[in-house]
Amino acid sequence: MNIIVIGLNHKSAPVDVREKVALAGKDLSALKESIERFKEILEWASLFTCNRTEIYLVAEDKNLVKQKLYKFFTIWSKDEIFSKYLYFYTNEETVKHIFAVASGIDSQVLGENQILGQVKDALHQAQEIKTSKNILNKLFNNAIFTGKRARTETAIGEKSLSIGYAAVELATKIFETLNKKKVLLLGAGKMGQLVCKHLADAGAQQIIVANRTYDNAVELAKVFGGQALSFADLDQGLMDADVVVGSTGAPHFVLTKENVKSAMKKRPNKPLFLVDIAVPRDIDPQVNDLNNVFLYNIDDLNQVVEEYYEERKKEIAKVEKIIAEECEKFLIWKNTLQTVPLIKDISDSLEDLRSQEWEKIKNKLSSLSNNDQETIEIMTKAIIGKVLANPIKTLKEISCNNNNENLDILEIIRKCFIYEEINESNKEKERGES
Amino acid sequence: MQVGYEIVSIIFFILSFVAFPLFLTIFTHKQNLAKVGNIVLFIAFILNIFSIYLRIKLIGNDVLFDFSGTVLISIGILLLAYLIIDNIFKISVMGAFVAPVCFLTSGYLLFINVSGGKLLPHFKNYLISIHVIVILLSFIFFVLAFFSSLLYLTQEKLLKTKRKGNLLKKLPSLKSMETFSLHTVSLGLVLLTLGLISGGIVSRKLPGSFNILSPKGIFAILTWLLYASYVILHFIKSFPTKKNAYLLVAGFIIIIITYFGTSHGLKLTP
Repeated sequence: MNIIVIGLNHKSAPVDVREKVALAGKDLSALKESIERFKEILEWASLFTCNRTEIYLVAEDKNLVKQKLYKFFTIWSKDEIFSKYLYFYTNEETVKHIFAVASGIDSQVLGENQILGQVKDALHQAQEIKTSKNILNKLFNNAIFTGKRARTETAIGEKSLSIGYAAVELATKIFETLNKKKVLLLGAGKMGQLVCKHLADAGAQQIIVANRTYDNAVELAKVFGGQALSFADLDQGLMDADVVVGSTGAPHFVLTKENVKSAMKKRPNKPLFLVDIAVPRDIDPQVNDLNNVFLYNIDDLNQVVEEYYEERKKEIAKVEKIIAEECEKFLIWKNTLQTVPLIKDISDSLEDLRSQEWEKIKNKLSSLSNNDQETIEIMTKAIIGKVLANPIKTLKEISCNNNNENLDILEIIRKCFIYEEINESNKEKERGES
Repeated sequence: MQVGYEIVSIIFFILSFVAFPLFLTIFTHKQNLAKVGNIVLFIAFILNIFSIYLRIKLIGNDVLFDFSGTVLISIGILLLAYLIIDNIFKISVMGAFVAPVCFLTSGYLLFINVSGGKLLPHFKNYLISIHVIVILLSFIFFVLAFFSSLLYLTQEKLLKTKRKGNLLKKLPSLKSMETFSLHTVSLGLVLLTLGLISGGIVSRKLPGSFNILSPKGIFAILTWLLYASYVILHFIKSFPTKKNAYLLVAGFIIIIITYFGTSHGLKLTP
């Protein structure tokens, strides 16, 4: 039984290739219909995100499946050379891959949290359309568990890699908390809105929107539940604000050093944090020279984000250790899937052998009392039990060792203990009875 | 007894010396070492109490009027204040200031022989004891405010210059340090006022022992004025916070001059 993943992501293929097989958020019925044609595939589940198209599956013959799926992707993408962008992993590699995906270390934005939800969705979808069974359900659940472990035991998911988050972090280094703080948003730029959303989420009390077109300011203020301000009243806005976010499209400075200086004269011991994410810049950089004024532009914020990214990179080794631990646990579980039926087969086989022999000899023991016959039969069962005790113990030990050679050992054991002739004759009997 | 006192003092010196680099690791990724530093300082605090006890055994109840005794008590109060404050405000980074103060002062007592004379009988007065304790307590609060102002100025510089790194992340916010300084200075100021009043009452009762125009008296008044102006300027909100932080640095310098510079102990002996 092989666990396989085939697919492509941002590392293996550029966006123009990835978009040929992008199915994120789309109906999977056509895909289901196509994959169900492959009778070799016992279970499957798909994981589609904006950067990833992956199909996880369970099959007996991995080489045959590989051939068929490469062809399938080529037809799907209508691209003759599509297969060169695909990766194809089996068993341990597959397990490690999905665990890495769920942990966020395989994502384009290292350690991002969204992927964990996407893995959960993929599992639910597969369960809904009934394409995943025992093995893939367990694989995906363990991947979700590994992803959670990575995020709680390491700092891989800490500190969002966004400019808005960086602005919030810096603001808390000045104000301790954003509660009861007022934010003045200059302009209606998308990035500015995003930063304001972060600030509002962090507790900022009021968002004041100032825009050259007053109506636009009113519209945007409604979104944040704040106030609108015309540019003519900017000086008053500056006096009240704790944080200013510059995001206009103006080709010149909207806030000069003089503007800020005169506002600060009226509030010398109240710090002012300015975030200028506009290009060209909205705020004169000389403003930073003023006492109690802290100005950060887009490059400064990007540097902060870059630093967070570096911190996350340092966590990769810890996450990989967690993945290795969880991978080992999963493979042990998978091996037990092979040994449990074998143990049952061996037990059944020897029991059949015993009962056949007992039936043969039973008539010869008719002179014995029923109690004596029963005692002998119990003894035969006990002998079988004792004969089986050590092999069963060994089999369980083998299943705990994650080693490919064990598969050969299991096959040898199967041949040693299972009496195919008896099994066949039993099956024939069963057929006859039915 | 003397040997025991010296051994305890040496162990205290070593512990506070060891604690210092542990606190410096706060600026790296190994934050747990700061917790070890706190444990080391806690043990040092216990030893400090023991050394005060030994000092009392050595020189009797005059420990409040003995330079070594007052330094030991000051260190003890500083350590206790730090441990309580860290527990409440989680400012372990302040340990990086407290630990060196401990090993420098204990080293000073160990390696520089400081001997006080015998105290005149009429100085053995409960009001003088209160005066000394209250003044020591106020100085400790001012020292803590000084540490906080140093942290404030460092953080302000880092934010202004947009420096990256652990230091920015590990230092508390400007607002929290400002609040901390205000609280400690306010408390220190109340205690200093009480100390000066009790000192004034004592000096009236004792013949010619204290002169307001003596260097110690002038510096004590200067200290009071400086810290009072800090609190007033803070509340009238017309003075930049950074300049207020510099006031605390100046205050600390005056305290050091008052405490160490003007005399070694009260020198109340004839």
